[in-house]
Amino acid sequence: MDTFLQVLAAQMQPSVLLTMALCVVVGMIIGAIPGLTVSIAVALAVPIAIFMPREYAFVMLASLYAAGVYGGSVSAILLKAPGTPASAATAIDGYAMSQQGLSRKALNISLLASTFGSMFSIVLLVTFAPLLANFALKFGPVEMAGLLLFTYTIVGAVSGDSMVKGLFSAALGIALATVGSDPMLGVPRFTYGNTSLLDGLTYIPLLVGLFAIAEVLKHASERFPSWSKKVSLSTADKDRNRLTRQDYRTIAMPMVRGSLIGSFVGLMPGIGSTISAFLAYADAKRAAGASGRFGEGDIRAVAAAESSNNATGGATFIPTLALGIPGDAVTAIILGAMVMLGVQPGPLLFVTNPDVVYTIYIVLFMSTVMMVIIGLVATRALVWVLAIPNLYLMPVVALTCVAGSFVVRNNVLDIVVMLAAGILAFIFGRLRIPVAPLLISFIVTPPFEEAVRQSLAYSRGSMMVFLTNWFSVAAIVVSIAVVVLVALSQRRRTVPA
Amino acid sequence: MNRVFSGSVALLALFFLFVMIPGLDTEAFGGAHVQATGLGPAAVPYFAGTAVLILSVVMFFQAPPVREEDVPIAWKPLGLFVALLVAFMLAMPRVGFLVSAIVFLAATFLLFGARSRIVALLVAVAVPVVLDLLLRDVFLIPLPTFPDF
Repeated sequence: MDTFLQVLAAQMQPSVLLTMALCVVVGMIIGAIPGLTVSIAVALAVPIAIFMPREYAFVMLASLYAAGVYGGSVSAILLKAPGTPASAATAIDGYAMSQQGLSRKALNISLLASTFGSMFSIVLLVTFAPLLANFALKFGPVEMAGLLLFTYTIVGAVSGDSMVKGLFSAALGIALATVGSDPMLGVPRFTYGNTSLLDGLTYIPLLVGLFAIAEVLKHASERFPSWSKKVSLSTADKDRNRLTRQDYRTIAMPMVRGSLIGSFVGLMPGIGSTISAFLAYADAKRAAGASGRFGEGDIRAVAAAESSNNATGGATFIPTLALGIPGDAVTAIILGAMVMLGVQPGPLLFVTNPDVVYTIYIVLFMSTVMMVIIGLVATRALVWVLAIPNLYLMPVVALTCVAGSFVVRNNVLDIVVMLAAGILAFIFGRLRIPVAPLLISFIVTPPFEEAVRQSLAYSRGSMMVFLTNWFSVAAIVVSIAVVVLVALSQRRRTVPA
Repeated sequence: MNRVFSGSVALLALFFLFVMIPGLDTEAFGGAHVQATGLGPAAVPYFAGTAVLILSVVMFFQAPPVREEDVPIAWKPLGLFVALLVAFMLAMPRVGFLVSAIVFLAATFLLFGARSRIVALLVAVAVPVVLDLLLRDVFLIPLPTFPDF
């Protein structure tokens, strides 16, 4: 309790609150701009965050994440162009509402649902993360190896629309993670005498390249197109856009169900908020039945999708903090930043650094509150931001990426890695190969390799150690089941009826 | 593009498996550990390389993705932008962030047809200056500077 109160007092400092407010604004802006996702916002912040005191770094990263997911709904509703992939489901009915002169109503429902979803998942995070961490404290290397094997399979099998491509991305991430020193013996692998590679491929240039540079290259390949649609909120009819008591009653259940779906998805590594939003949309549509006007501007659709994608955000921190396994691409980025700041996520985090855990809880809560306040007053400003031409925006993003990647070690190799990662992710985008499995696999491979080799050292090389441990057997069985089920479901989709 | 990419990756995976991994000095710090566990530093690379090879071959034979919104790649603008970016990357450590960033932005805006040259040049100067001040004075992150001769 003492630690919690100390952290709370530290978070109430004016400088911290100001940093949080600024990051909420920046997160909303970047999330709102089509082409700049919340992943890019957090990825661009990491090179700055690692130079800051730890508490400010976590404030920056968590606030950007919380606000960025909501920000994506603004352009989804106003332009039918989701600012972040998680808002793609919102765009369907949100834009339809906008076309009917109900843009303000759609934005307010989005804000309300986002806040509800965030708060819901923060409560789950505070409740279940310590329980999971307590359970995971009993894990040895065998259990850890089983859990990480499950992570690889679920990340590869469920990300994107093709399991082969997801697993390919994950396998490539594993291969890239082997560059550097072997985790058990320190044997240099694929460094070719370059001491800069002894610690492996530097994390920041890799993630900045995979997420930000790839997006910039995509826009460059389309000659930096700008949005031709003009947006104006000034003509919106105030009476029609007001939320009535009936509206609140109508969206209540979709928000609760959306939050439950989003939280469950957030617990599973690699699935992410985009899929959770569509699952919640489909669930709300099914629940509405004949009375639904989904696709034509149904408020339940906006409420379900937005509460779900924000609920995923808080819930993804549960496996990230408690197990050291990132729940999605953004928490993978944040996990990497935590390691660079000298904090090792995992069950011991709750014992050795409870202040970090409380900081994340409090920042997520307070940034959600700030998001509501700023979202209610700053919608016009967000609309103005959407008018910035891509031609000016994207090269500036590229500039920030190069500077951010270089300053980590003042090493030209890092910006080469950044560009190579950007080109790779650009090709991935064209071929619809998901990038998140690559990053998540890159992060979990060193602990996976260590766990497997420690297990085999304990069993003197016998693989039976994995088949005589109940947790490991369960993880292997579930992994195989996931692969088989996903393969069958994808096959059913491609075979004509 | 699917076949070119997956074919290239398959070839790279073969190179990785048959040239790069065998070139590792796995006995460097402890052959005893490898004997005791059966898994040495080459194990995970072999696993990953084999997985990449198999999956890239499967992707090679899969139908390419069909996406209605797919915009064709304009290779010339993409190549031009990459060339400008590479030039900026090489120049930054040598002439400093400010000079290289201003030239990079100005060149990009003008070559890609910015509507107003004055606005383009203003943005090309203002953004690097603001970014430099922010990173250097607020976040205390040292960016490369123009060398003193």
